[in-house]
Amino acid sequence: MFDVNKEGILEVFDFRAKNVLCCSFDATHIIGLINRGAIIWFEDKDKQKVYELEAYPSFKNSINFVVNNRPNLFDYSMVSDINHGVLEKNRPFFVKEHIVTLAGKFNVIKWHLFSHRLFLTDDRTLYSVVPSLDNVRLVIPELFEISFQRYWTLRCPNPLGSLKLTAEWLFIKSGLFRKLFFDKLIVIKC
Amino acid sequence: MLSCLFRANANASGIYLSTVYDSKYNPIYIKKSASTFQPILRLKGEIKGVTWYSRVSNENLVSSLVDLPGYYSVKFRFITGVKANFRDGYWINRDYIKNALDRYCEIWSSLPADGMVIHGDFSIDNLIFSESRVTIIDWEHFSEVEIPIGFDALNLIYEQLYMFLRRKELTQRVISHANSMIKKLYDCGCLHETYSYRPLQSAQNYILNNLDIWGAQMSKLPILKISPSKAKELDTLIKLQ
Repeated sequence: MFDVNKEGILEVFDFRAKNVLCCSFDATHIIGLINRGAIIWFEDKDKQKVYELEAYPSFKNSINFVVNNRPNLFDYSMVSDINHGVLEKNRPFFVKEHIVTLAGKFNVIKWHLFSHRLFLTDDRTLYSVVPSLDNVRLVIPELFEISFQRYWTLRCPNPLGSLKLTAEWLFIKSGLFRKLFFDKLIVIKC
Repeated sequence: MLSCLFRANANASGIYLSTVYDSKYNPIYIKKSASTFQPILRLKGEIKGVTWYSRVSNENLVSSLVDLPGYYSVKFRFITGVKANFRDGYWINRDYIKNALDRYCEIWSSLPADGMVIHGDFSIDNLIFSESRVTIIDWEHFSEVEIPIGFDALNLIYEQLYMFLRRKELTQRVISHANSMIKKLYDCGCLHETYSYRPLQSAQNYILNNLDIWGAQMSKLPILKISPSKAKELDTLIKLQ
């Protein structure tokens, strides 16, 4: 239900006392946002999906639904689909920044081939979400080169794990591979 | 500002480590945070150490702090300077070691005898050297335990000796230098007499008698990786003369 490793992407932002419109239903992210002091909102049409979340009882008192008392603007929206309606220009409310999580190679390649054209280059910041043995280990912006060697390890009690870490390292070292094959975190400014 | 997460759940510690950059991509903060109970406690312990250090050194490491019921986050100022290469070992790092011990003496010699504290991980890797000063970082093993003065300084010396010995045989010039460092610590009142004749074995014993300070990290301490026979041998060569 709650995965401390997956929650890592939230560390790139400051959510304290910020209004966040959740358009994705990942319990780890929802609980992580609440822990970080965010004020969570869901659209009224998503009520049923939220109720069905296994973790719903643990956060039901910490969320709001957008009905009539919605804030004039949201600081962030959390989206897991680049074609989500909240990203459209003619939406009824204003969001300062959209945080889009793109998981899976298919979605990442689709982004590079088509979806990136929907947003101006200056308006978006891309991060690669790099796992290490299936955990989020690094969230690296693609804007500039960062030296991250010292934050990686090839040591693992299991020799197969070490092999996997070596293979992962070869992939993340290459800027091109990192860009093409790893999950993305896209921040779109409005 | 732009952030970059460098370690989620580093070493299964539950602590996130990230760097915050300005618009020109210069690092300005190092952020440590946690959202589960034990890691939050650990971070709070570190802040206790940082607060102590700020008080005695007039050097403020913390820029801001967020303390929420399920989340704790600290932004440390990014310290500009040079770090020694931990793996280079004693002889290559001798100037860094000397500067580090000067800093140790500056801070610890001013403490009252009954107010002893330890950094707990006074490693060359946790020091940033700049022209004006040596900054001590990573206070996560800070403790107000009754371990006599000199422990942290010895930890640094033997950590670097251990790294040296992994690749080379001990030489007379290394022994002389290490002995001069121990003498210097003693002369500035920063080496308790308990360490005089068996400094390494005494320091090792203090770790083994205070396991709760280091927890699972204990197995990573280089000073404990020195075997009992090697420790005995080193203690006959390097001690207060």
